[in-house]
Amino acid sequence: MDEQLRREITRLRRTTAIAMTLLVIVAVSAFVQARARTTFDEIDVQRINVREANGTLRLTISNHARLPEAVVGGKTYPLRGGSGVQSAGLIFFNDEGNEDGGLVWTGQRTATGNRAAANLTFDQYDQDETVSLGYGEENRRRQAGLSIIDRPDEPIQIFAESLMAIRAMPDGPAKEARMKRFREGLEARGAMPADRLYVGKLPDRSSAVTLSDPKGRPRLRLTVDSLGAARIEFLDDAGHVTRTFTGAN
Amino acid sequence: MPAVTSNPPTRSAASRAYVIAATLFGILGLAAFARAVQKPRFDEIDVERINIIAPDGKPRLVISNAERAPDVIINGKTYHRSGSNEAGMIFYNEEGSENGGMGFSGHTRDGHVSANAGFMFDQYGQDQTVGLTYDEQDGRRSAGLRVWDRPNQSVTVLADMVEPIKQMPNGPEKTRRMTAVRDSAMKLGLGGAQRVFVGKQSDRTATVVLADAQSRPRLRLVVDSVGAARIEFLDDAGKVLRTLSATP
Repeated sequence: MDEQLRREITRLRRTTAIAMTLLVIVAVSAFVQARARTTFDEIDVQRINVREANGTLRLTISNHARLPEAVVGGKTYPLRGGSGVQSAGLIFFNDEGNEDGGLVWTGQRTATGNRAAANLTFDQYDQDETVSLGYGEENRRRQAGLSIIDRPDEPIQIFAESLMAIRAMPDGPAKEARMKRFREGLEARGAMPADRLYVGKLPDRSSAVTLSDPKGRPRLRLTVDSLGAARIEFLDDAGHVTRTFTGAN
Repeated sequence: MPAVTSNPPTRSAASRAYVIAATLFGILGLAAFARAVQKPRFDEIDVERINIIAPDGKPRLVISNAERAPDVIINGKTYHRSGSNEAGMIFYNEEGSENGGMGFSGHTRDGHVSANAGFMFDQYGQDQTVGLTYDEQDGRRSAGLRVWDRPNQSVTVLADMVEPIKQMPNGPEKTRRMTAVRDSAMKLGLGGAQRVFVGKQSDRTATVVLADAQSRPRLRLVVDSVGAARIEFLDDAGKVLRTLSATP
């Protein structure tokens, strides 16, 4: 063989061998990087999923576009939002991968003023929020405080399934009648939520502590109203004030 | 080229193996990078700051250490924070304006303990309206839930007044001007009022305080450091009008 060609081939082989080794290192390191602990100064991301080793989702941190749909009983229900609200934030999931709370916020100008809300909520197992720190505002009517809510014993899947079925119906009297029956059914079997405690300020510009019975009826109320008048009220189950304490009497 | 075709067959097989292997590794390498671009998976990451951004690039959440914590951004303008920037999370609304956050810090310096943690939601275009707070200075601790009224005007009205003073070097002149600006801001109703406190205070009382729109406590439930319980009604000058306790 021509000596020059032989040298050429040898050099080519050497180059290929080096290139291949480098490729292997790059490919392997790319996979290893994904496995081990990785360090960044700063990252931009639209969504982070925190998972158990077996893949179960425990937390998502995301913008609005990538906010996950509600997952209950292992099933996904597209029931979130729908009113132009564009919440971003954190959604929590329990050991079974079902949603069990969240931390979300939204705020924007609207045609009539502005709309804003922010909530940190923890859900009752297989149900909706049972404790919540929140703020809500619509055109300068504002509420902010801590709520504690009783939720029914029945799993929220029953509620979600019915609601999905009703939403799928065409608009009209049949849909409205079905919705009414659904609500009446919830009330009849005691599956309605009940506010038990609220501490915060109300849209009427009062600050208040309200303790309610298991049916959600306020029975003890501490109030300082918008003008600064303070009172403590005991109420009966029909909402009548039965005894009042003020600074005067 | 006859010289080449006369190469031993083993060499040509080796060359073919090289080509196949190189191609395979090339695909592997590309796949690894493609995965990294699409949805990378990490067991654990160490990071100084994470920005959760909307598809258009606007921030919705920043998670960071203290050093990389962002200054206040409202309506596209940046302001210095009243306290120092802390490690934690800062929330942003759809318009990219800060609307809450969670910060925490704690240290012993020159033998003095200073620690605090706060979780806050801001009123739209304004400052915090509801929050959970903990604060400690050398064993004097308070912790609880707070609710504030905030004015309808944007917080930028006050921030624009205060920002030039924040740029001044520390000293009595800065303190004097800051106090003057804050006083006039309060008179203009630009500050706000704490309406609710539920928690414990540094005098070791557990308490529920409801205040009027000028932040004056008007109804107070207290269990003090020695266990005495009372309910107090107060007037707008802070004078207790009536007390209810276990002994009528």
